[in-house]
Amino acid sequence: MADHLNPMQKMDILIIEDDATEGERLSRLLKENDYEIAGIATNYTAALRMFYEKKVDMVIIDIFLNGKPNGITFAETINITPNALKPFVFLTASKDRQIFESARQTYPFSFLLKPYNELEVLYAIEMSVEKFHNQKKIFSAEGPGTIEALDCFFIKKKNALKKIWISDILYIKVESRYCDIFTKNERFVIMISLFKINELLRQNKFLRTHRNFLVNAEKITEIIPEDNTIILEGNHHIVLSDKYKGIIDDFHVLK
Amino acid sequence: MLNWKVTILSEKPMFWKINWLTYKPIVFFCVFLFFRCMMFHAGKNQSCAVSYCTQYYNMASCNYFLSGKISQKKDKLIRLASAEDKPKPWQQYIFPFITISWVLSLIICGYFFRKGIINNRLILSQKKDLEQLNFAKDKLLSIISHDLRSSVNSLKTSHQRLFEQLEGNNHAQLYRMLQSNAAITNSIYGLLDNLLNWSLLQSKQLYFDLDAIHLLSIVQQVTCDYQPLMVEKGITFQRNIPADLYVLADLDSIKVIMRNLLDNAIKFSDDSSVIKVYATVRDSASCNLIVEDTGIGMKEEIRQQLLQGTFLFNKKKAPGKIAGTGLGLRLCQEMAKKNNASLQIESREHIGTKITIQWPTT
Repeated sequence: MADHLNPMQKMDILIIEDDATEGERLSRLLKENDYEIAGIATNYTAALRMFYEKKVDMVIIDIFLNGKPNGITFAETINITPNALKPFVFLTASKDRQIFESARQTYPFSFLLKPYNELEVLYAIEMSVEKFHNQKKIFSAEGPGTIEALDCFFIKKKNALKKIWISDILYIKVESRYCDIFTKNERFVIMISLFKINELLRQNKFLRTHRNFLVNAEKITEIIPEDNTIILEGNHHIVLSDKYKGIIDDFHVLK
Repeated sequence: MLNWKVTILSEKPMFWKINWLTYKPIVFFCVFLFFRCMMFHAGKNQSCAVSYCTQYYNMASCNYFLSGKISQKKDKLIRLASAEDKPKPWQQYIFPFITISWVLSLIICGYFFRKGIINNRLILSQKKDLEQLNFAKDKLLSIISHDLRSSVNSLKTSHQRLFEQLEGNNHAQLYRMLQSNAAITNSIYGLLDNLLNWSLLQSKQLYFDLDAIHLLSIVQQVTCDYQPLMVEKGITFQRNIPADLYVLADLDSIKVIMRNLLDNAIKFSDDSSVIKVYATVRDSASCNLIVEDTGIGMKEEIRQQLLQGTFLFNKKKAPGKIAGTGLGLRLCQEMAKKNNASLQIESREHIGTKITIQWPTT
């Protein structure tokens, strides 16, 4: 999972749209905004095949495929398949209440009305990710809004959402409101809740070495207790304060 | 002037209001049956008593002449007859009872009759209102179709000229014409979109879902579409919306409202004027969203008409533009109302217009 060179990943979007021109237009628009296109499906079966075969982070679904509301059927299908559900956005030209009501039965529901402009598409994508992870008012707020998923963080870089795998993080420096995230070659400022930090610590994925430092347990290469230093992959030196030296006991130390 | 929206028939139908016409014959029939029965019973008993009396009395009087011996019998008979003549206890009460029933039934009938008249009056007035509404609708339809027809016609003729220019390879001219065509198409689209929203709203078919909405994002999204238009007209656009402001609204409603207000502001602004969109927090539960222009403004009379929800039929049409019927602003008002928001218009002729919407916040 963690074998990507660039720790900040583009999101892969699957487009389900029967109109080739519309699909192309949307695909171009998303690519311009630094999203990756997993594929453009023109019917229900192709959509399901692509959804299961490819790496998909979210789906944009046209409700009407060849005159039938198969987009809703698709959403229902991925809704009932365990662990398959991804954030999705419905795309429709109709404001008909009936269609919306049946589309709404699928969760999490967000939609984009045709005709749309660039900003509307980007907003709809952000909303669907927020709704999917049930963390609202994140990306629209000021500051480095961050969605916390199980194994990754979503942050907004310029206009697009990016994904950071937790397993790629070397260490986290906790500041008063924000956190500095250090990966192999990059550094990001994000917002992590105290809850998430505690969860990371509880799962022993991260260890606290200092009041302000959380270190990825898997990335530790060397611990030098007498120097109060931990060395991580890529030769990052981190402070290990006396108060937290207890973490050494958790390792099987060869003597 | 007429009001476009009228509650059809009575607001809250009571049983007699809607069912009176159906119930009327049944009620009358019941009352009739009741009295018919009363009359029949009373009549029968009365006539029985009388006939008994006369029968015995006649017999007795005959016998009186026949024999004195029978006089004893006669007395007995007379006594008997007079005893028969005495009304039985229930017979004593039947007449007041009938009278009371009659009076009661008269009151009931009178009541229903009056209700009937009131109902008729209501129906008549509603009929008049509906006729007026229908007239307004027809008028609106004719104005809009006329506008659409002339706009599409100008596109049609423009296309012919486009072909000519294309043959002559006159690119500068082509570009200019395409630009003007795009503007016409945009304005037609805006009108059609309003018509669709209006009809969906009126027939209650519009999807509606209140949610926390980031105001700044929405304003950015809507202005994005109008940016070229404003650049073309040389309008300075100023936006000042707090980034942490969330309103409780239906996503599409708020977009429709913003689109119309901006469209109007641009349409009624002279070249190189200023349009401001800004929001201020009122209190913990509401904010003001304001769209302000330095355009041609409007007369007080028109402002009143718009606020009352009247369509503007008698307005002079600016050449080359789709005349304002007030449909857009009317739609904004209705949608604002549905979103628990309210819309105010301030305007001074040749100075500008300021439209304030008070939104509930979250």
